[in-house]
Amino acid sequence: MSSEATPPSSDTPRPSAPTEFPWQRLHPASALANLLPVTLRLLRGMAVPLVTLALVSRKDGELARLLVPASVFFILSLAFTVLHALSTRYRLAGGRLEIVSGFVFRRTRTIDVTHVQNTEVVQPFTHRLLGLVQVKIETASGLKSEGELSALSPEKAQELISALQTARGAAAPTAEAAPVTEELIVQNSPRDLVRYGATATGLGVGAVLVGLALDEVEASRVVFRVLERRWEAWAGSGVLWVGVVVGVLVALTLLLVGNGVVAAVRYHGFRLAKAGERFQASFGLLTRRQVGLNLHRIQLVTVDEPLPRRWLRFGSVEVETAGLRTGEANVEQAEVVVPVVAAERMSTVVRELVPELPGELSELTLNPPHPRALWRARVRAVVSGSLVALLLTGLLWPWGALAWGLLPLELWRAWLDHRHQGWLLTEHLVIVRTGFWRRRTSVLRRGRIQSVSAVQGPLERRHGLGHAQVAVAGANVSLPSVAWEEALRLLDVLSPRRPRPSTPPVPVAPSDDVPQTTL
Amino acid sequence: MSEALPPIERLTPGALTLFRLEGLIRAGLYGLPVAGLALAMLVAEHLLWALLALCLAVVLALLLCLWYPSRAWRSWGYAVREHDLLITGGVLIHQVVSIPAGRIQHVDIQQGPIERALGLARVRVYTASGGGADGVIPGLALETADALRERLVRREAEDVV
Repeated sequence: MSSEATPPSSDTPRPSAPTEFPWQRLHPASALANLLPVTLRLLRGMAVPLVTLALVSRKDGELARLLVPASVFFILSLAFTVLHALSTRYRLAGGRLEIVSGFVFRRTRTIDVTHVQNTEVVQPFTHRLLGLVQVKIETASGLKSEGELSALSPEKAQELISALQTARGAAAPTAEAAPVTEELIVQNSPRDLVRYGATATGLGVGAVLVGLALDEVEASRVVFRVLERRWEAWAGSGVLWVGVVVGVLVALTLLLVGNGVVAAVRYHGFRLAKAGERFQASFGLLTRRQVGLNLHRIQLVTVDEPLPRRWLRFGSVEVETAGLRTGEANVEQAEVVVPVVAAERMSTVVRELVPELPGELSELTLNPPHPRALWRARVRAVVSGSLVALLLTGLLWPWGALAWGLLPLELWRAWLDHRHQGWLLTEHLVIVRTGFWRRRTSVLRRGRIQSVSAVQGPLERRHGLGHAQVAVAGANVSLPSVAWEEALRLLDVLSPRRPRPSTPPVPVAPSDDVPQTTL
Repeated sequence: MSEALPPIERLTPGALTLFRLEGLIRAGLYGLPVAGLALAMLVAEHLLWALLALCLAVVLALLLCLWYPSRAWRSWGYAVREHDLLITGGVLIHQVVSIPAGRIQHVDIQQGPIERALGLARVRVYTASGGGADGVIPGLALETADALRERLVRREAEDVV
């Protein structure tokens, strides 16, 4: 969100603000207000290529010829800006804000006023010169503003905001919360954080990185050129291979230590505390961060327990909320990671975040995926394994061909992953577990579900399977493959149904699953 | 819906024309390089390769202009139920999406030049999930799209918490 705002008094609604007004256009100078920022943005984007061209062009006419398409693009972009500003109009009618824009591609955006989460009045430099403002209207549909009107006069902007607020009947912010005691949930020591960092990158990723590094070295032949004279003797005595093995081990160690140090710096002094229904996480050595979470805004909690962490008897917890908000004292971000939670305390910590959790996470009886889903997993394993093996064979012939020998291992991995998948529906929660090597258990609240899909890919269709996909604000969770009929049944079961109220609802009450900001 | 999908509203025949025209444009975009390759092979007197490239271009064009549009047209559909909007679609990956009425944040109607010439529109339905439109219904008659939007927005306003 722009910080250059000097908004007119948008917080105080005018008592006599209309709840409807007819079609209105942007300010006549709006095209001008937007031209300068667009021009600067285009010039900034084109500066590097143009300077490079100027430096490398050898003939006088060469640069001029190349400038023609750049100029056409430049002029078209400016024309588009002007057309967009001239074609945009908006109105408030029937409790809805409608914004129409575009000549060639016409877009009509309809926003119900009851779903407006936030309005923001911003005044960038060019707008300030012309005495105009931008109005941004946000619902909870995404990180970008859903409606943007650039530019309006401050009076028109105030009129729109007041009208939106009157139409919505926005309530005043709640009274100050009573002071509550703080309870420490998790605290991580530097040793914990190093363990977290060292297990953050799987061995597979490390191996790929090492492989790429070695490949790069081999391709540039830097090392081999130096060793060329002694190649025969060293290769014969096996020193070269010892060197390669030592190199790989050193690279892996550096990778693990590096990850550990990064995690220790980033999450230094991590602590998660709870005060009433609010969680506060604070961490960081160089950049200290404080993240505030409201219990009722938590959409999804994911327990990340790759095999190395399970061996070390811990896991990490990721918490997703619906929105991103900045304030004077702290930042609320969409996700908080609790780096280290001891295995024996995992269920307790998750239950703090999701009180509806029915029992110990490790003791839940989950529904298995459909048996035929194993075929799908095997086919995927063979296809992906073959592609990697093919690539390695081509790049590192003849030793790369050994990668084909890993295909049985890939099939075994697919079988293990399939065996450890599971899903469970409770009255309030959806619990999904995936993977063996990188076990992830997602716990999401059914009351926060935004949409549900039943998806059937080509391999699933062949076996009459499908899987359900659940979207909450900011995240998607896929359930394991089940019979297609079961996936369709889940579509119905998981899609939240709202009992129709007997009395008309007051169009004020904001839904508590999305970030709320009064107008 | 445990047994089967409810009655689904299918797209109008005009939507098939839209999909075919879009397929034609795609075939032009993807097929031109292949045709160029065929020409280059012909000039270089690699007749067999030129023929293969030409066949590839023709197959690509047929797939994009005939096979894919008709499959897409048959797969798209929607149903407005008591509690949700149901959208079906997808050729390779078949998908049935349920968007609960109370979760709809806003509804967009979009018309590109071809859609406008055919009197069609595309409805995009957004929830708070944040990953773009949760549901898209292409190739609706403009009046149908308007009526659907009215229906969804009104239901949403009634259902909102």
